[in-house]
This record gives sequence, structure tokens and C-alpha cells, in this order.
Amino acid sequence: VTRIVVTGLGAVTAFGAGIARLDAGLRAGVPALAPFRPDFAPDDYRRMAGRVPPEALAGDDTEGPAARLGDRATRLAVLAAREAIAATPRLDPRTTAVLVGTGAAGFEAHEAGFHRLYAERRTRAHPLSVLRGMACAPAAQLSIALGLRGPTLTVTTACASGTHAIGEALWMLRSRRVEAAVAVGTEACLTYGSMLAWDALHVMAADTCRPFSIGRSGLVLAEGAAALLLETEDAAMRRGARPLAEIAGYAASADAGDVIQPDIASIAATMAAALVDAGVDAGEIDHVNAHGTGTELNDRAEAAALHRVFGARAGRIPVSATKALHGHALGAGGAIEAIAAILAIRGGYVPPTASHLGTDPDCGLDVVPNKAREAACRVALSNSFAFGGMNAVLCLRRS
Amino acid sequence: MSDREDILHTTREILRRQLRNPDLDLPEAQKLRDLAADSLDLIEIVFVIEEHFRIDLPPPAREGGGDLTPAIEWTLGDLIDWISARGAAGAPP
Repeated sequence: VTRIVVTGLGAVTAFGAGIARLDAGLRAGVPALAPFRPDFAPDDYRRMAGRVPPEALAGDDTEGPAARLGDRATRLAVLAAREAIAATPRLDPRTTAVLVGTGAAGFEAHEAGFHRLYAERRTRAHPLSVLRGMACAPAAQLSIALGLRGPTLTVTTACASGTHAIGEALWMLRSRRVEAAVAVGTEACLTYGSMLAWDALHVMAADTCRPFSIGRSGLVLAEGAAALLLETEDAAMRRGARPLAEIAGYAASADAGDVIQPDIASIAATMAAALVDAGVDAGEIDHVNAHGTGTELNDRAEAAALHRVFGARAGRIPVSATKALHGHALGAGGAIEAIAAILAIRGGYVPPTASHLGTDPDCGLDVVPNKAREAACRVALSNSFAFGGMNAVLCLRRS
Repeated sequence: MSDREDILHTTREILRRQLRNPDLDLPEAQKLRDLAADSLDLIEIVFVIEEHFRIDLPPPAREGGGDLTPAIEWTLGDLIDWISARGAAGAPP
């Protein structure tokens, strides 16, 4: 089996534009979350959120097709993907795939459109509504902006979308369908309607996101995008591209049960399957980037699954829930967190689980509380468990 | 009610803004289809003109008329005549 390597990374997160800012943010361990009031919301509506700072979009091509046609999710995706391929100019566009993971993509386009129709009582929709709001808009605009002509697809599995996009790109490469793939997770969900919908689920944190911690009260929504350029090892070598890490394994599954409550046996089996796919023993895992949303239901199920997979070692593996730092970026989350795991492997550190007040005794994990730690990571897992019971786990290895 | 000169002036402003070219020369003989750089420009121009003057340009012909209004085959002068004939007031600024 050919090895699949990562040769480029890009990110736009609450820490700002660029991998360097994400890396610095993960090392510093200070959350990039702040109270935010979305457009159309009453003056007193504020929620903690991981908002991409305005200056991150300043380099955006505001006259280009992505900006004109782009919902914010599209613009973020194009920015992240441009960074991921910036160092590799000799990609063959015909054999490079685009896989975008997104929970819903067009929140901004849809809500602005509905405001126009239902609040302003206009009778005409904007003629670009469909093109801006369609779930595949980021993938379409990425192929146009980057000139990539291989298979261009959108994967949508809620909060696991970014992880699935990377994993499915891995299989496209393993099967030799393409030689390279740009795998992207993107989401721009900080709109009033979207935030109210999450409020209604009663999963939004009262103060901030505290995964696996006593005193936690829920998740903090975020926006962002992250992109990975994946290549077969031989294609990368032929081009003289430097591998940053290997995508060693991937597993995906569905609980086929409750739409919200994660199934412990099912997510444990998915982690185990990712280890088998990578040919890695559980004892070799040095680090886990947890799904770690900061909701009691998710944290306890994930912790129980980690104990099943790793047995007595579970409490000794550094498990980081980086959502406490960059927020829960839904469809982008898995891609941001896979990159966080790669940065840990490359940088010799594990990022902290921030805002931690003491580990929930029902979790029993080493969550690297509040402060990054030097650690030699060779192999890491990155977990994503979505609403709907869709699970995806990646195994990342030093190349 | 706007007179023909006002409508012409406003339409030229709309087209220059939509085409992102403030210096665009727009004689009345200019064919609207030839103005557009891409498929989106035409769609947006038709929309903004309909919105501004609160009018509906003629619908696509049933056969062989393309997907957009046949107005895109008109000259700018034709368009202004058509809008003027409907006494379009234009949206408030």
C-alpha cells in the first residue's frame, strides 16, 4: 500500500490567518474566544464564539469570484487552501482532487436571503442566492480559484465533516484515483439564526468551553477553515515536496442509533478500526486530539471509549481538546484538529485543554490542563463524532 | 416620475458599478450582452435594474430565447426607451 503524506497545511481560525498563528495559539494555550453579537441579533445578544478576526480576511480577493459568489464559508476555505498549496506550485491540476467537509456551508447566504424575503418583505430573491448558498459552493469555488480539475466533492457529516473529507481523500489517493488532493474543512456558522438554533439545543456554554472539566456547561461555536494537501508518497518525492506527516489510518462509521447521544461501543470501535487501518498498536499512540466539545454527554462517552481502546494506558496518554482554544468550528473542526495533531507531531509538544478547572472524575484522562507540554509525539489520533451518529477517526504519524 | 435622461443617467451608474468600472463609456448604441464579462454579470445586471426601477423585464422567450430576458440582446437605448415607456419611478436613493 502506498503511503499518503501531507505536504501542505493552511488554516484560518479564531487565532487569525495562517498555520503559524494556529501553532502559536495552540502553544500559548490562551483561548481565542470572545463574546460576539451576530448581524440581525438584538443589541443585548452575545455568545462566546471563535470568530475569525476581520484582518484575517483583509488579504481576501474581494473582487474575485470567491468573494463575489462566496458565502463566508467559501472565502475561508479558499484562504486556507491557498496557504496549503502555496509551497507546491507544480501540482498537476488534472490529477488533484478537492474534498471539502462542511456542516452546512451557506449559513450567511441563506440567512441574508431569508431576511430579505421575510423581514424586508421583498418579493425577489437575489439571483446569486443558489450559487452562494449551495452546500458545494466552497468546493466549486476552490476548484475555480485554484484551477484544480480532478474530482471535486463535498462531504457533509456535521461536526465530523472535516475529518471525513481528509479520510475520503486518503482513500482516493490509496486507490490511485488521483495523485494529490486538497482536503478542506470549512464553516461560517456565526449567524444569528444558526446561533439561536444551537441555543435551542441547550448545548451552548454559559461561560466558556471547558472539555472534560468540572464546571463545564457546553460548547462554544466557532468559524474557520483548514486545508491539507495530501499526496501519494511517490508523487510527493517526484515533485520534491517535503512530507510534513503521514495520514496513516482512517476509519468511519455510524452509530445507527441516537442522533445526539454518542454510542460508546461504536466510537471505540471506530478508533480501534483506525489503528488497524494504520497498522498501529494501541500502545504506540502518543497523543489524542479529542472531539472534546465540552458537553457532558460527549465528553463522558468519548472518555469511556478511550478507556475501552487504551485500557490501563488511557489515563496516561495526553488527550487534548483544542476546541477550548479555537472553539467548535463544526464542519471545519476535524480539519483544524487534524492539523493541530500534525503540529504536535512536528513541534514536539501537546497543546493544552484550556479553561480547565479540574478533570471530571468520570473522565479520568490526562487532558494536558491549561498549559502546553513538551512531548515527543510519533503517532496521534484525531477524533470526530458528529450529531447524527457519524464517526470519523484519523491516525497521523511522523513522516 | 423620472424623465428619459434621468433613467439613462441612473442606468449608466448602475452598469458602471456592477461592472466595477467607473469610467466605462456607455453610448446608447451599446449592446447589453457585450458588456458582460461572464454569466454572473448579466444575471446581476438584470436583477439590479429590475429592483431599482421596480419593473419586470420581459420573460425568456418560449423557444430559442435563452434562459434570461431577451432584454440582454437590446442596446442601452432600447432598454431606456422600454423603462421610460413604463413610467418607472425608480427606487428611492
